[in-house]
Amino acid sequence: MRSSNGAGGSAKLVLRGYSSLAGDNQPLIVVDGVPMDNFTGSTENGFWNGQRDYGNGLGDLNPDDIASVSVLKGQSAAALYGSRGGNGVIMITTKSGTKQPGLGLTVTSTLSTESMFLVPELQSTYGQGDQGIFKADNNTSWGPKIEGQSVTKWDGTTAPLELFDNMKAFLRKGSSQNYGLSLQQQYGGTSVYSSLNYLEDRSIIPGNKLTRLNVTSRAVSKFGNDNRWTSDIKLAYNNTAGYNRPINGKDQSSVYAILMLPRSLNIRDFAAGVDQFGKMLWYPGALAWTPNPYWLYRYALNQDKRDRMMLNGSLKYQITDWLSAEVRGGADMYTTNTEDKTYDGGPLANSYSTGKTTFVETNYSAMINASKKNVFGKLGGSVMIGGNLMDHKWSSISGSTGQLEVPNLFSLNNSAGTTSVGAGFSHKKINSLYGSLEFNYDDWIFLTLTNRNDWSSALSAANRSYSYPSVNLSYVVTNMLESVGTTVPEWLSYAKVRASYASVGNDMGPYNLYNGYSIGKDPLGGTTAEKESLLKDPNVVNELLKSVELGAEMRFLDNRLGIDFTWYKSNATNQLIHLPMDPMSGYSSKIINAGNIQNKGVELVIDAGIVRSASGFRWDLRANYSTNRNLVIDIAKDSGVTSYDILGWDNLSVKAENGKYFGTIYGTKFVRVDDPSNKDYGKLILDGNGLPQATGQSYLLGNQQADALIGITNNFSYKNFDLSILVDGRFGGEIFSATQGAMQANGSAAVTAPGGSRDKFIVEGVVSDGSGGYTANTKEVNQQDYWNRIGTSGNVGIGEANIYDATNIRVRNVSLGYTFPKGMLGNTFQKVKVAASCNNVWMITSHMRGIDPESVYATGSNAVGFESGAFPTMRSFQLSLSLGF
Amino acid sequence: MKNMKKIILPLVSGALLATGCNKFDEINIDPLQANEQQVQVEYFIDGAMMTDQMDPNISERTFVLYWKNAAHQQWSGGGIATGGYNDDWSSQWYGTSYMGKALNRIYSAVDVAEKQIASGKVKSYTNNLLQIARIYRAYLLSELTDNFGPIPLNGFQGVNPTFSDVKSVYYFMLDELKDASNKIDISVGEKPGNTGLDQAYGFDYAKWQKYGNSMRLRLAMRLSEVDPGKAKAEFEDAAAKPLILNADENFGVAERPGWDDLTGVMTREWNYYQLPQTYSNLVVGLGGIKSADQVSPAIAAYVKPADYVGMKFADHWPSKTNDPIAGYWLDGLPYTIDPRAYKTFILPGDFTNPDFNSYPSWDNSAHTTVRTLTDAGGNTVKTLDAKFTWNGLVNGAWGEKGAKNNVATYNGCTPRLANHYRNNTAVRLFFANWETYFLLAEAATYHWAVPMTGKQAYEAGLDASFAYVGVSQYASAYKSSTDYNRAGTSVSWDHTDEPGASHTMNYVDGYTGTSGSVSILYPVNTLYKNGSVKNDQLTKILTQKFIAQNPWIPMEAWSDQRRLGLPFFENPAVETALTNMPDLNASNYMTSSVKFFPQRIKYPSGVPGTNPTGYEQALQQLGGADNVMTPLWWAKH
Repeated sequence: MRSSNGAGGSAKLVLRGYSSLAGDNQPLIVVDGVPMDNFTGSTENGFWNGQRDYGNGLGDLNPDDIASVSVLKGQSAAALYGSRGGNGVIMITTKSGTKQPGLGLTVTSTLSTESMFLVPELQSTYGQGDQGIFKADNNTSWGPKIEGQSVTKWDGTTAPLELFDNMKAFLRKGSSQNYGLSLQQQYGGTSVYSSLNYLEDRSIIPGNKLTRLNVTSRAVSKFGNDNRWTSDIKLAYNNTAGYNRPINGKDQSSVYAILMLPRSLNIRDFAAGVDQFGKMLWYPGALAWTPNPYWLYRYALNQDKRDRMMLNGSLKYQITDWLSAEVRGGADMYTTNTEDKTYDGGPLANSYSTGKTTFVETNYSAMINASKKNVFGKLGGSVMIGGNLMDHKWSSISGSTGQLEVPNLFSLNNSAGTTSVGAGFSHKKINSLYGSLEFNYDDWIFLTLTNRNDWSSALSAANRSYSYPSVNLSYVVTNMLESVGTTVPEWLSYAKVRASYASVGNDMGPYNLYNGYSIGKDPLGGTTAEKESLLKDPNVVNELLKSVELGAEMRFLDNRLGIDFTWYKSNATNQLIHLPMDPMSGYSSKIINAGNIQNKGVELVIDAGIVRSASGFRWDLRANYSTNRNLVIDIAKDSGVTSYDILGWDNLSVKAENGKYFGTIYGTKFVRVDDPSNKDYGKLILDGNGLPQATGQSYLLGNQQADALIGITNNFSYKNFDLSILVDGRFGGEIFSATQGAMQANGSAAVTAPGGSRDKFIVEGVVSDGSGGYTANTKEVNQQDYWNRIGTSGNVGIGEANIYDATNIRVRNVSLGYTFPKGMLGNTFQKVKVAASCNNVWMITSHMRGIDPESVYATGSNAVGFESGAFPTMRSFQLSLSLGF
Repeated sequence: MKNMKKIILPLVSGALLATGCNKFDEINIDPLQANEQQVQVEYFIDGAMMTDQMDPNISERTFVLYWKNAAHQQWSGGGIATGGYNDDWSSQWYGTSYMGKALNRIYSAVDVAEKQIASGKVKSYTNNLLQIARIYRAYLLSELTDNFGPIPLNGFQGVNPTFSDVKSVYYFMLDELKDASNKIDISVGEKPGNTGLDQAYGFDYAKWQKYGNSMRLRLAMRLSEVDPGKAKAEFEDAAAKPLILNADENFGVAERPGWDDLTGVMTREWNYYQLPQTYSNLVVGLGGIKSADQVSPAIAAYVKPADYVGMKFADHWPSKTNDPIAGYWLDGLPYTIDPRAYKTFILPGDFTNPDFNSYPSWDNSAHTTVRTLTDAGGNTVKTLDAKFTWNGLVNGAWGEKGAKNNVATYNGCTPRLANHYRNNTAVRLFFANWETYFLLAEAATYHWAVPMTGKQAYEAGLDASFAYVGVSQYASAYKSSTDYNRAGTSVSWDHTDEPGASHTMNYVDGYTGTSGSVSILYPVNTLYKNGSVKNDQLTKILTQKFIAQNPWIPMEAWSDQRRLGLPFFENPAVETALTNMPDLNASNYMTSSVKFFPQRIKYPSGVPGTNPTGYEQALQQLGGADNVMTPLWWAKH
């Protein structure tokens, strides 16, 4: 969905729509059969006070270690991976050693640069000031036309009024370097894969950096009689460090601050950050809560460092040729240390905070597999029975000083008030038993039945055990025809149809059954107490996600053309919803079992080998089409709740509503003549000043859901060259942009100076004639008054004015690779490859006035139809070299 | 198959049983959670008081940018003073981090105390803690209702509450205060072990009782216009009981440095706390004490004659407002002024005054007094030095005049709130003794039975306020003064002669230097007795109360203006249209109206979504649109 927010920002992955109202809707990441904690970077971003995006857990992996990724979109993996697979599973298989010519060493180096992909459209004619008059301490661009006239600047000096490209001046070119060394080889029955990788990623924001070190070693050994034993041991260590991660939202966001800066102010004037007395240098009149970006990145520092170990071991014994047993253990453990230092001299409190979070998840499983063909005639099958023990522990401790006593002494003992201490702890276990039974008739019909039973420590004794079955039928038509002796037509290579039903149960976090009190400290050390903010219920039961899927796969013309079609429907029921409550109830929300959210859609993949020339030229095309209708059947009718605010901001809200598609966007509209019989029906009703008016109420303005997604990849290869081009399109759906509204109100948006001028104009519309009718408006207004009305009516302006069609088509990626011919390499090198690629190459069409519809409010929020101060998306160029020895 | 069963099934089920599910209940007990036996009533009381003390995040939004602006305790330009609101501020304040939290804690205090009493597991002071919690709860509810209007009275029970109309809320609070104050047993000697858990009174039961009774006076008086019978009955009953009459009985909580609940409410450096014209109009000329007698000899040179209004800058100061001196800038100090004024708002350029505030520390704006007026092209028309000048500021849209004016609203060019209120060393007052006296004085003007005469109460209130500010030496001369301030009101209780419609003043044209004289109107405050009265005793009381409540108790100043239209608040300037105050325009800005002043805060946007039934009730009971301009039940309509 999106990956930005500076170096190592998080990405949101949503497979087949949203099934949970408030959950993260993220698929489970499974690495070599062991689940990996893929925490999301930031949960919720305040409209003003954003949170930092600490990146996803997934970002800790070294991409070079990955051998393959497969995505299980449906719930078919339910039995194996359990409840957390309900949003789909991303299966990552890392490399294991395979026999290589030569030493098996590979050295890779990747360099990339990045820059802003789209820049919001800014006006370039008018400078700092108000009502067309220059004012050095004004924070808007409603000043005079920029014509090089002499003005007294913010610092009292005289200079010509000029336009500045402050984005370019402040932001740097992002760059990243990745170096890898890997060994891959097979020695007798043991194959070994070891790798070392280092990444340093510097984003476009000065001071923002991510480093990542990965060391991985994996050994797979086959031994014993007939190599019946297989052991697979993997150790992966990772250290990820983020420096000065940017903040989303408006406050303290450098990008947002620059967007809102008066157009004639030179950000470079403030590059020193501080004056000679160590005080923040900034222009008078600047909004105090948007500090000088240069000061911010040097004097408001944060860093987070994570040490992570992923261990994974399995032992498999092939008892007979049809029976095997396997035990597996895995652990994912990490500790993240965070530290924040804010220096003296600026508007932010001189303060220090530090924290430590430790996470450990262990999984132990045992499994037996029996598989045999033709047991009874042509009927064969397989049986699998297994069990899993999951233990999930998390703890945290943090301290925060507030204002420091001795300036810039960053110690928890140096608080001017009281150092506040926080601690968190959670522990949960899930025990599971699962099994599957597969029937295979003559290799053309397959029936698989699975069942899994979980016991969760998070639910009460009565509700702790729950099971969920699945059934899967597939029918290979071509095999059947061959089997019964019918000739398969030449043009048909393969045909298969499939149908499945699956259900997935899910529990909740620990400690959510009984309410109690939390004890705290007041600033003087006295004891305080309060009720917990979540109203719990001991009687809640597990969630249940049910899905049906039908599909067909066909290949034609000697496999040159393939079509894969899927229809699916899933219903998330009995969800454990934290239903928001009026704060005056004593709780901010309560846990209930409710809801029915449906995702229904179609996926179509076509791949074609268009050209296979004798000279070696190949052209392959792959096209994806998908459409998903994410329907809210019910929130909690029985509790009288039919609407749920996914995000609410003043008059603007994104909702899940009974009977509607997920993500309806509500906001204010222009006041219009609403009587269809009136001759002026539909025209704007303007006020006495000739300005448009906002309705007092909110109306349905749109829906964030896309109608369809299309992706087309063309792959060309000729001799040693590979070229791949990916074009992506998203069609339909709307998005509201609060950034545009704010830029309009402060006169920096391009629309505030149409055609580069700010002539007065007459808003088209009518005014009341005082006796129930209307007359055409004749009153002139200036651009400032007009856009102020648009941008500041209510807190996000007139909603209707800044709702945009989110349709966009872009060239997502172009990559070109060249593999040196063996003959050129001599004896030292086994393989040498160079590749260049570019992401976000070209936005072919988009409607958001320079804001990428993919840059949304928060990756932790499901309200992707709302954009405010979003970090821009990036265009990156990448050059990589790989040397194999 | 047999082998398989032998090996695998025991393996799998054995592993499951080994850890089993028998420890699951134990695993699912939150080690950080406290139970009902562990928590004590005073923990909740302390928590509630700390939360309501407001950390800098919420105090800036609520106390400063809502209350002080609505109350004209400082200049704000726009914001709520011109009908605006901010859903983030409202939502945060109403939500579970602030008001929702403070109330939740105090409801828990009542709940836990009642459970302890019911179960017999009490200490000698449990009953008194219950009554303290009820009194404090009534105060918190009053904060909430005076901002929003209808609020829940059956909240904090784990279900979405219903909303009650403002009348029911007031009757409930009055009943609670009466009952709880009566039930405090001041003979109990024992206190909770840590008296620091009551930062206001250290569990001094007698003081809590006085606070409960004085709070009752405050809330009863709120009904003076809408429900005078109830107001009188409650007021008279409470007035006969022990009240907050001495400064050491004031309800206040000490502020501290840092960034937490006890950090000062007015300490954010980017807020300037500039002198509002409303305050300036009331203090200039009031009390007859000469500026020259109040300031150092060096500054005395800046004092202007009594009949001098200032420099006229018609193109740079707004004129579309009923501010009596709209368009003038005083290039010095007024001849006479209320002695509290210079102690509350420190003069620009008075850098050696230890009470001069230099915020923000990261720029030099507080120390910059020389600024310019320009023409439309940005060329300097006039350079002014605001050092030792006294000018208040009018809210609203200054349009092009403001754009050309680099002087008026500049940080270093206006008097600003004294440093000792802003540096985390003060005691934040919630109820001070002068308020009791002014309430008694007001009741006396209505001929309600109170324990002293109106004059005694009025003058005792003045003395209390003067003592607080540290200017008691001027009090006796001040109390007998018959000089009018710019609103046409004098100090002396017995002097009720009305001023004329206007008075003649001298001025200098700021652009040409030409002198002239002008007739300055005494403003016609159409909100009070249709503007016919400017100097009756009620106006005097409310004028004094307004001055005394600055800077700590903005909510009462705002509520008094909403209830009585007193003292005189000038309309925001409308040089250009005000988006959120569409009723104020170029043809009616000389008239005062409830439509030109904020009346309440719009409910947070989350309420209709989370509690639709309650919100619907609230709208019905509000009796108007859910916006800033709908007056509350007890307010002027």
